[in-house]
Amino acid sequence: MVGTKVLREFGLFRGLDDGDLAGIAELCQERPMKSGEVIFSEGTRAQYLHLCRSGKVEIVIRVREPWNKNVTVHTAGPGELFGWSAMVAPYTYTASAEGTDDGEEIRIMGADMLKLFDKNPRVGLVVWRNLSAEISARLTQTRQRLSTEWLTAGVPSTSGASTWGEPKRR
Amino acid sequence: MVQVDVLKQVPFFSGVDRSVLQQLIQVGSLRSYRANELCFIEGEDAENFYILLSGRVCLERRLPLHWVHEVVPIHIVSETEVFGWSALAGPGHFTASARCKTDCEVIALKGRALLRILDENTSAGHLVMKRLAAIVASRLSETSERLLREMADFECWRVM
Repeated sequence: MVGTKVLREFGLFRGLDDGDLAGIAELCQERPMKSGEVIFSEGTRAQYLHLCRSGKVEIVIRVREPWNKNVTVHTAGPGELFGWSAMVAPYTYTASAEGTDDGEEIRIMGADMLKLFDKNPRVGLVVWRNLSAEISARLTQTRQRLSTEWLTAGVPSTSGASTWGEPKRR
Repeated sequence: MVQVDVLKQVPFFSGVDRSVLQQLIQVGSLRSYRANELCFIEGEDAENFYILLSGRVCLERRLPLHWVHEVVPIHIVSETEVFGWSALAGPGHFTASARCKTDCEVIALKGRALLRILDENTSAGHLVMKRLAAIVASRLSETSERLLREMADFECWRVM
């Protein structure tokens, strides 16, 4: 069984006390991850929340026509949440996750987590807020990564990836 | 002065007790904008969370200068919809700009005060933050989709 000390390492649970974490620990399943294993695939139904306990996981978006290639938008390591789609509608993975090192994940059924929040709204409030912050960080990473991908694909440019257009207040 | 009955019409606050809504209106103010004015600019400190009462607002994101477009639309905000989630979660600055497509009337709620009220009222806080997470996830999907389309459009243009 996963201990509360382990759960404390995850940003998703920041702000929760030992009693709260003990309730979450009861819902956790530990599972080994192999290098090269596809843990979940973009577009499929999301049932679990995924947390990386050890090893590394690449989060990959498929860039369709005319590029037809996979872009890694983030590499998750220990202590990171890497799959949250089981918590928010439409409950479908928006990216794929592939193990790049052997390691271990902790997964929680999304439906179980939602039931726990309904019983204990304070825990729900804290976790939802942390989850929003995690998704927000992913948004920034995804935008930067796609921009870099664009540059390395050979698009002629004299400016760097950090040079952005500027909206003007009118 | 913002009225409680106005907040009751906002789906984001649906199911929140009237006593909590009473507290929320204390930290809100009505604002009017002309068409093409910006409620906030991408990158500036996210102090307020917004509710659109009338008009239409476009959320737009900057792109690197060498992309085909300097700015792309990510989402059109409709009446009674909320925007400016960065004031409640995230990096502390807005990750998009909010441009009024028409003359608009909005409620601006002070982000920190709103969070304090939600912390003190955990049932309402749980309900609201769950909806907020769904909005942030939706913006991530919309942004990814839009950027991938921009890349594809540019590639098509380049090989023509």
